Amino acid sequence: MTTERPRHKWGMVVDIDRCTGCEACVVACESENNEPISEEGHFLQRRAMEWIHVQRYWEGEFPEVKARFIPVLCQHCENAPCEPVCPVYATYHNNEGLNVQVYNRCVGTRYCANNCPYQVRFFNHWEPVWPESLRNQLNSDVTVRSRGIMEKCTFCVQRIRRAERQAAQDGRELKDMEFQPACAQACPTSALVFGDLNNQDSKVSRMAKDQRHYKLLEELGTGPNVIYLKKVDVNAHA
Amino acid sequence: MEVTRRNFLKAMGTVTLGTVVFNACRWPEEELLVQSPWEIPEDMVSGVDTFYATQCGQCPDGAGVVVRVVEGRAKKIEGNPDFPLNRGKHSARCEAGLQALYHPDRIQTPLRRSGERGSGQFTPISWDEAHQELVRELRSRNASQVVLVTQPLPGHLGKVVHDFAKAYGGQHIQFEPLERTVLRRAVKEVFGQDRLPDFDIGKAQYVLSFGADFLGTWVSPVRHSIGYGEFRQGEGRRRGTLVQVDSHFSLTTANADEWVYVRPGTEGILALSIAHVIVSEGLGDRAAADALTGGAGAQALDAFRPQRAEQLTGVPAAKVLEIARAFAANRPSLALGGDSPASHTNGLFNLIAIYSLNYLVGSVGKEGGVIFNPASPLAVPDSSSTATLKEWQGLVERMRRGEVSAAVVRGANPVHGLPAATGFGEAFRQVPYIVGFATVMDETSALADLVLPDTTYLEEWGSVVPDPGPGHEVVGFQQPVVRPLYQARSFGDELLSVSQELGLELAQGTMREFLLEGAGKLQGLPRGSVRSATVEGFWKGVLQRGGWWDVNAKANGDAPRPPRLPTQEKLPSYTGSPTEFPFSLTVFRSLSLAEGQNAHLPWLQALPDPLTTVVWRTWVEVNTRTAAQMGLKLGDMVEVVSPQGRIMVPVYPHPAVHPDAVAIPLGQGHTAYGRYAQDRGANVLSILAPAVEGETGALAWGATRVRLVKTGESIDLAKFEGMVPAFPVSEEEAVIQITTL
Amino acid sequence: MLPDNLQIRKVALAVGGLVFSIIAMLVVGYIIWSWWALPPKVFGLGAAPDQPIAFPHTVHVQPDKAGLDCQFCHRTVAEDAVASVPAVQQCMYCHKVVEGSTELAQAEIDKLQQVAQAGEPINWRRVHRLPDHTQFVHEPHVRFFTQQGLGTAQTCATCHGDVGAMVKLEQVRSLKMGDCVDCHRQYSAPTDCATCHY
Repeated sequence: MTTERPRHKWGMVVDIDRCTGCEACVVACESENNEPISEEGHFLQRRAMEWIHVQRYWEGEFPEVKARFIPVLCQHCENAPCEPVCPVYATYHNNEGLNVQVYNRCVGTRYCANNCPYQVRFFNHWEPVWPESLRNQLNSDVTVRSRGIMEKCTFCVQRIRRAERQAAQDGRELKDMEFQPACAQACPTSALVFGDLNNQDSKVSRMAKDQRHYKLLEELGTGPNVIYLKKVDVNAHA
Repeated sequence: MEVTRRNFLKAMGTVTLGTVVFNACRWPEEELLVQSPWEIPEDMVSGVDTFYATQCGQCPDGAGVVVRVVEGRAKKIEGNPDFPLNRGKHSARCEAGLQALYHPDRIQTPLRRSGERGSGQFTPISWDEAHQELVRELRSRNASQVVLVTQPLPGHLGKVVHDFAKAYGGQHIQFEPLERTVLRRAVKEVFGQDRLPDFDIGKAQYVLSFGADFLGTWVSPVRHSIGYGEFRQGEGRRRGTLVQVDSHFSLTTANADEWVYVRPGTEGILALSIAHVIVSEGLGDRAAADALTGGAGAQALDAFRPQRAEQLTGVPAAKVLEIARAFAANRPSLALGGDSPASHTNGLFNLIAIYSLNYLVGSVGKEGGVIFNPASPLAVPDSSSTATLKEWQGLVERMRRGEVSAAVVRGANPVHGLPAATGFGEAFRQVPYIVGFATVMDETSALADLVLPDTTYLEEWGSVVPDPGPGHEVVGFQQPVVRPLYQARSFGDELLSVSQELGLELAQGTMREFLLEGAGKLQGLPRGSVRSATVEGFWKGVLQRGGWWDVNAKANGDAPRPPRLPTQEKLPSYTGSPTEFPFSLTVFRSLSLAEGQNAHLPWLQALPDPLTTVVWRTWVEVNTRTAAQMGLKLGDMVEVVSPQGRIMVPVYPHPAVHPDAVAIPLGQGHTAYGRYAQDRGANVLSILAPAVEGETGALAWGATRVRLVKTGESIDLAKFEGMVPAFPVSEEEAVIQITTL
Repeated sequence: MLPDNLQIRKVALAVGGLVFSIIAMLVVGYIIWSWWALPPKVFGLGAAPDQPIAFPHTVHVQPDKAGLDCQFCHRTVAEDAVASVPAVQQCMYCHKVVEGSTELAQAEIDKLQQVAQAGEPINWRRVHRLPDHTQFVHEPHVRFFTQQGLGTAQTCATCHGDVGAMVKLEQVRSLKMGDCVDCHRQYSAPTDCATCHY
């Protein structure tokens, strides 16, 4: 039985024409979500963790060379390939458009990561360890995941919950842009914008209607809730 | 039971199973406790988070931040949405300040050297003892032989240190690895300004950037990035055009609409060539053109005809014409320059030429152009002039001659950050008495006789007058968001207390009281964002909002007079002959580690370089084809040899580096500085020639030539690239879709 | 060791086996029971822990004694996640003057006063502990029940039982997930996993 609270559909718009690839989002995410420190060895084993990361694509050779950036995070697909393969229902889609990872249920089969076309699911191959003093920084609103558990971007669900609670306490509706996930909050160029896609007046809804909109690997039919806005390049070889 | 092999295995199995099953059932001791604190301050209620506005001390741009604190622990740093400079935004570097605060290798107590200098052997002592020793040593020494080395200090702390040095009689030197001396001098000569200007990128239509990595590491990247977002897709405006003239492919180059490769050090010639076109075709402001050329018009710039400039810069004459016409037509247009053009022996020539272009298109002091910053309303430093390489060389000489009897170092790490060829390291070891204030033991404080645990910026009082500011008066207030950890004591407080014992005429009391006094002056104005009838009310107000600013207090005074443009070109000179050292060496700041100040923070070590995506290491960027010709693959170790020395680094074949150049980032190669920085990568400054910019005496960090020597060794280079498989790129369904709208 | 007589030997083994099996089943049953619900109180297992200072809620809460409201001490229960235990200073607001009615009580108050003078915190033994990976926030729960017209004490009693009648604080509900979800269903509260697990 669900409640009668207003149903949101959380989504994000990523304007890659604004994105400079500065990676402020990456550290903001790590700081907010207690991601383990990615040591050098983790990178060498291709097991480093960055819920949001910036991919860089080279085009051409010197001097006609270009580098393009795209931030990639969990797309919170409406029709997520990761969900049906989980044998224990640890990942599912909730009624607010979030692709949720339930840590307690996860048994670590890693089928979901295998099946994710965006490669944004990360497995805890090790028990996360921090030196005692660095543990002071851990966010008390977010679970520290242990070894053997899959994790990924949550759209900062802890911030959604906090904002909902605050709104309920004040007896009002959630306001557009009242809160942002850590990555969007940090983004200096405002390339990342988060909000309610059900609310037609929200900034994210307005941006999603931009003629430059597209979705990542749309042909797979995953129905992402992250909408990208095309890079503008006046000199592109069309 | 008989102990047979079978029984033994059974027993072992049972024990192991039991261990596995029941070990998981244990709860950590601390989770079984609920603590009643002795007292509850109103801002430390369990489970309730509090937000404090303060100043970011990670980067020199002076962003305002808000720190989320839960139960006395700082949890998250976020941009202060009120603060006019960064309006709620921040960089990766700001965010990582928490790890500087909670660094596991923080110095916890005052330490006295017990072994040989540099052996790293120290004995903990009490603060009382350390303080007495410091006072005694400073009292007994000849003040003129004492130097005070700090990082560039803004605001009230800068004032305290400056006043201390003056009253005591010592010398205060500010250290910046890649100095902005040339930039400051150029701004002074071109615009007559003491403070750096604000660049209104958000309202500009055409930005012509010469080498400045303004989105990544140059001057005030967060502020520039905010403007860049608007510049690209701001509502109600046409998309701007960014042309990057650069010899190095930086983050900004990657984001430019067009990259124009220019021979390193000839950016000024290209700028003057553009000026030549604008003046000769009458595209620009007539009065400005006359002033710039002394009334002679294009005649004065004849040396920079596009055809001639082509030979010097390598940029085709047609391209120069195209840029010049677009620059003049798409107003407001803005020209800015830094990094590479400033890094050569003709740096000042380059920058003067570049910034002068703004006069021709009427972008000086105008929206969408160069906007000047007013002087600080308080009598505290509002722009930090740092010592030039020439001055450092002078200091090294004095140290060698034994004319420096004591050094107090805080927050600066010249042992790591000065080119090794200056000989600073060895000379510094000969200084009889060294005091180091540090949070984490770095190369410089490791040589100290007395190491004092300093506070991080999150634990101390202070103020920042951002340089450059946002075009109006701003004073950022810095307050402690958590109690000082361990026995850390703020440098300012310690200096004030030492000065009182030495009987110097300095501000009385603590940093907080000194800051309160400053707040009182602002309160008396009375204008700006915070107004109150009482100083107390004002104080609360500025601490709540993170500072005081007055958007109406802009720079005034006469419009600056354009300088006379040079009529003859100045070419850069290099150390090392082109035959012996075929590659020119580009040294650039790491986006995350900056010049090495952030190398101790694991988040930033693990943050991929945006272009190569390398983490935790130093690498050398070699053009893909050059690498192929030399038989070098990704991760092959090469020796980079300059006339000054050699370092071993792995190769990253890079498609965007000039075939005749190699590029190496700063940041790594620490021999101290905590567990995350120590013994990793190489320090490119150790092979840099101590070349100076001709006019200013600043370090010319682009003037070294190198050669590559294969070692035959190879390592697995840690990088983000390839960690997740790249998306398949097809014509119709590209991951990064592009439009020519 | 065993007698040579085969009969006796068999019986002994059978009885021993039976006893062992029963004990084993009891242990396993105990573990399973505790997994789903509150552990049964046998052999001192599952008993309320001894606190460093034997704090009787009765004396503080009962209307004929001190008669304090829950929120007087647990100040943030209606504001945020944690109900919070009061600071030592807050205990001392009253216990500067209030003395124990019995010698035993006075002994406990003396402990408190010693702690307060030393400026030390008190490390209470945790009584209510939720399973891992669960984010529980008091505020919406308190808000919901008070809006239903319940008073503070009744609201708290929903989960914590009649604390005012407990000399030694103990847990009365299992507070396992089943317990939470039952209640959420009963009151039409959200049962989406991401309500509590993130």
